[in-house]
Amino acid sequence: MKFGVVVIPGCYCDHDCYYAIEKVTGKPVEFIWHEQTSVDGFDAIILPGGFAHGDYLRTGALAKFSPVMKAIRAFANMGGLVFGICNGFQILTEAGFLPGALMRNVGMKYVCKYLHLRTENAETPFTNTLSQGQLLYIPIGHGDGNYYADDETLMRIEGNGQVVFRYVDAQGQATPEANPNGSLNNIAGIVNEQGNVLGMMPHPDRSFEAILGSADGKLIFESMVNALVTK
Amino acid sequence: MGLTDVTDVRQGKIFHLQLKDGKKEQVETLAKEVLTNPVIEEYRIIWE
Repeated sequence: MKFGVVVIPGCYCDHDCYYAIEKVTGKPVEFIWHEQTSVDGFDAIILPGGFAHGDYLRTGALAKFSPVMKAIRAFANMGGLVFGICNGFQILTEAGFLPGALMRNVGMKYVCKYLHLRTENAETPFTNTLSQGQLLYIPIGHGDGNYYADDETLMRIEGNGQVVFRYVDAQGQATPEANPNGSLNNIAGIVNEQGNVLGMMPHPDRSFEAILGSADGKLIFESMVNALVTK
Repeated sequence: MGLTDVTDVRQGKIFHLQLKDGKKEQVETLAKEVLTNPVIEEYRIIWE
């Protein structure tokens, strides 16, 4: 199996993702330049964090015009695993892979800190090594992580298990105080209906080995390997 | 300041587009697919 990490001008977490995947999974991983028109040979594609195209116009707005996105869309339609982290999540919503949108943090400040996530759906290719309700300790670093979707969309994604991670306190409660950015329902990460595309604002690529402060992030990458092995 | 006649205020973005030979068709597409995110934004086109 082969992992791909997309390289878009302005994104800087590509090397973190590459290193995380290499260290955690030991599987082959390659960079994918955003002007490539083919993603043949890859089984999982990561859209890393950063500021793609300088966040011009809106965060993640212009990346959908990068030539590689057409191939990634076809890849996702065929069931390939696509994982957007932070800016990658913003790109996935702007490009229509995932519902809703990420807006400016409600406090109008960039927030950078460790926090707790609760696993709401442990049956996705990204969470199959986790248990329902399991807490993860993962850092965030973003100014535009405020997840919004209209009422009908919100009800739908809550109802059919598309909400994968929620911001919670250390006791696992999704309180307003545990919400760093104003996201509706404390939503931190969601999948598409098919379940093969995940977007999350927190950074497992910054929390995959203990020396970083938490190794909980590695569980997500390990789940992906698990899913690909059993495919 | 005692200026109490305003009942509502909105803030948004304005994009001034200069068109080649008065070609208007692309503006709608640009508005819908690039300049706004329909999940959280609306647009209005004003021709000058």
